[in-house]
Amino acid sequence: MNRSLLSIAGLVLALALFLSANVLSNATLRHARVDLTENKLYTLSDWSRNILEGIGEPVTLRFYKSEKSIQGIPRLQAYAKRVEELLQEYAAASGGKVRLEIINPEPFTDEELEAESRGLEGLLASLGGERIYLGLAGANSVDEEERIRFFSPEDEETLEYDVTKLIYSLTQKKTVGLLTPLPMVGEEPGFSMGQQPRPSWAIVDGVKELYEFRQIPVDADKIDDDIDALWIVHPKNLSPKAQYAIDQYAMRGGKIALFVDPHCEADAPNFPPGVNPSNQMQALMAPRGSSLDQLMRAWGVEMAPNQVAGDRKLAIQIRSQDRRGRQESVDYVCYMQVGSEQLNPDDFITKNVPNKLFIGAPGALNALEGDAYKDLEIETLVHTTRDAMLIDAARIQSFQLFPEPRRLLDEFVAANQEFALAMRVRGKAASAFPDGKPKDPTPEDPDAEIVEDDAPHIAYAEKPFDIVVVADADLLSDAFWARRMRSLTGGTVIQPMSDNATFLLNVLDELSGNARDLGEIRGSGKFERPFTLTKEIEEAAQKRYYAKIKELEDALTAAEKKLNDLQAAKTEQGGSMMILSEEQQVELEKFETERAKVGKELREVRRRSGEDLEALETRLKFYNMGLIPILVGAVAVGMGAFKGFRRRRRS
Amino acid sequence: MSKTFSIFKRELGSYFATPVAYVFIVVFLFLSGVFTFYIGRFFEAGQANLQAFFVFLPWLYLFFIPAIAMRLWSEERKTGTVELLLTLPVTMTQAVAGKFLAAWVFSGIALGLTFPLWLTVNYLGSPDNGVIAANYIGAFLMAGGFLAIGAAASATTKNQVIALVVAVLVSLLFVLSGFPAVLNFFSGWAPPALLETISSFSFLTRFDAIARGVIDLRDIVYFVSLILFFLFANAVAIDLRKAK
Repeated sequence: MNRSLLSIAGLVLALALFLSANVLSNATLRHARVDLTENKLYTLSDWSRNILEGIGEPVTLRFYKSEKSIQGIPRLQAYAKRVEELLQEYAAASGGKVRLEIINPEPFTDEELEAESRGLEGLLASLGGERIYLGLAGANSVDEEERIRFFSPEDEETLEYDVTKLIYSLTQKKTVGLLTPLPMVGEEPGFSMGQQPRPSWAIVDGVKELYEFRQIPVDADKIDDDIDALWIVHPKNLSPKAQYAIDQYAMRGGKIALFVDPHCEADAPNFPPGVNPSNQMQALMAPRGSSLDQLMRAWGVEMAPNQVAGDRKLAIQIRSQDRRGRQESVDYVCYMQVGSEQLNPDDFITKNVPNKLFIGAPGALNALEGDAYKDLEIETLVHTTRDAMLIDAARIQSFQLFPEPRRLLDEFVAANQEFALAMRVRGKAASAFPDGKPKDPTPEDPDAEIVEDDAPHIAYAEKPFDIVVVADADLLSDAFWARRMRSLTGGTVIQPMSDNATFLLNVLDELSGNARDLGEIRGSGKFERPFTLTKEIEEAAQKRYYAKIKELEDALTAAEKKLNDLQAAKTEQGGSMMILSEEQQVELEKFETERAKVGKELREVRRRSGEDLEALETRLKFYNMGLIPILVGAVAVGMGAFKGFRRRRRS
Repeated sequence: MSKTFSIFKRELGSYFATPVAYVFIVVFLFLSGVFTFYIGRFFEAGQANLQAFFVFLPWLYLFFIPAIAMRLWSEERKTGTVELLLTLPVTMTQAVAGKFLAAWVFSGIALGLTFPLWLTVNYLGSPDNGVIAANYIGAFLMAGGFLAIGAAASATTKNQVIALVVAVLVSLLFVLSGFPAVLNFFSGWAPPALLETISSFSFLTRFDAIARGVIDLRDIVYFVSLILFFLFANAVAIDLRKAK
């Protein structure tokens, strides 16, 4: 009896020890970890530490976490713990410059109102209307605010970048000026009566998070000096005045990100209801190219006029209709998926693009040679593979009405040349307007005031400029990189499908002089890890069977054509479609058989092209599920036999 | 120390003397394969990681590991060899530790034999091997946790079926301890700090934390303290029963 009591007491004591050991360790052992991930995803990176060291003024971070309500969702609670500990690491590494406050906004409290007023979003927890808050509101010494509305576990990969970016943009914000005729910036709510305001392009929102954003009118006659980076997109039909303004900005040592495009799909005409269809056709067929030839040539770069680059190797598959009107997936050579092999590994901009860029119908750039460019350093940032060619832009234009990606593929002839799609020009050159400022055309109103601009004309660059020229504007549009999704809290979040935004931000960072650490974080740790082997097998199979499939499809089309000709001939002769001569009957049967045979072969080939992959999968399944068990079984039988043998020997 | 080791050796050897262990390993490997390739849709997902395997592992362990633990003590009870064991010049601690370690190593062998999966995923793509290593470490620790619970359960009764049921139920409690249903039981009277600790007691929470690729000292403290506690309970149970 005594003994049992003692044992039970001991057990209770042990339980208490167990619980307290864990409570204690949870509270105190916050910094003892080993991060085994390849990219050290869970450690505050040196880059963030560098940025923290570099900030000049204090920053207050208010972390809102609904303690009690969050316990209902274990996954969220675990993530909240991670976020909180990371924020504490920031505070610790900042040497006192970053102050962290942890606030618990329980439902129907003042703290909840505070969280809402700072723009945080709450997750609806229950039918009772309770909201769970997990967000960050940062403020600097002049009470400017930035926020992370809700820390969703789905965004875990970019957690460090999001927080560092928030801190950085509170202490330093460079100014980016956007000059474009495209509707990239959304409308203010209430602008169009009774309609949803047109949203901004997702990439503009992304830029606004890190930069002071200003829209520059397309007829501007001066680019202010406080623009740290000038962002020009699809400069179609820019007035000479505006071009001069850009030129002089460059001459003052300006930084420019120029996106031109021989065929800009985003430059689509808007049709209000009731527009005459023939006008629609005309509008659709209107040229969509842009180029700043005069300026670009002064900077040592030219774009092949009215030519669109196509790359067979990098082609993206799209859904289209084949010759017989059926839906099919086909590689469209003008849409390219560009990877690290096509990016310049030495330039900071392209070094930190870990995933692919999706490019849509780009032009091809060329560096010019000559005495005028002796003070310029021009390098290629992005290029195609050698399996590329130039296609007439007018032909791509006609695709709007009659898409024919398959035909482009069939008629593809590789130029065996890598075409440059983006270039960077640094240094000094002469103005593109050697005769000074272009004269204004005679004003319509003779009494209008003519404003004299007394800024002296700069004929040669005073300071070195830095210009990135990209021969595609479509990569900035949502369709090529942003997927809009509903977030957990009901707002919209952007999920990137390509690294186009990363590329643009790297460009703007480099041009405006933002800390390179930011770009390093942006380009790290977001690695997709697909099955590269299965991709290779699929591609190889497709290439192998492509020729065969084409051959069979051609035969099928020919057979059908003959059949149709036969029917047409009969009608011409005035005969009824029903009555056939014996000869025609034989021909008909022959062609029907041919068609059936070819159709069958086609299906067979298509099936076989998927076989390689299936074989691999089956083999791997066997190795994993069957091999070891069989070996273990063999060992078991072996051991049994061995023992039996030993036993028999002993007896 | 060497006594513990000799018990360990004897136990581990006895596992492989019977066909049961081999059958166990084969079934475990086969089932984890089925979960990975068919239910987890490993190929269809096309991602170079072993998520499809590790996400089901805690649930596989829930049923497989207590089964290993059963033979630790229940069988000895039934055949009456417990008393025999304890008359040998070994302490309770050494006996408990030796048997547990043998079972743990055995579970480790079964886990290790899933290595073709690791090879496969490296053959198909380029996974984060650090994360996979962390997953395996976490899985091994978790197996230890399940085993310690099972060992304690098996020491309380000579009926292996009852012991198995008890082991599974207690393990289930630990697996689900982060979930609202369990928390609500405590939320009435426990302070918030204790509440958070209780939800942090979930095997799933801890395993998920390690599965990200980070080995936090707190997670190690958790599993080690859990194992120690249940082995202590194990020893107490044997002791109490022995007195009778």
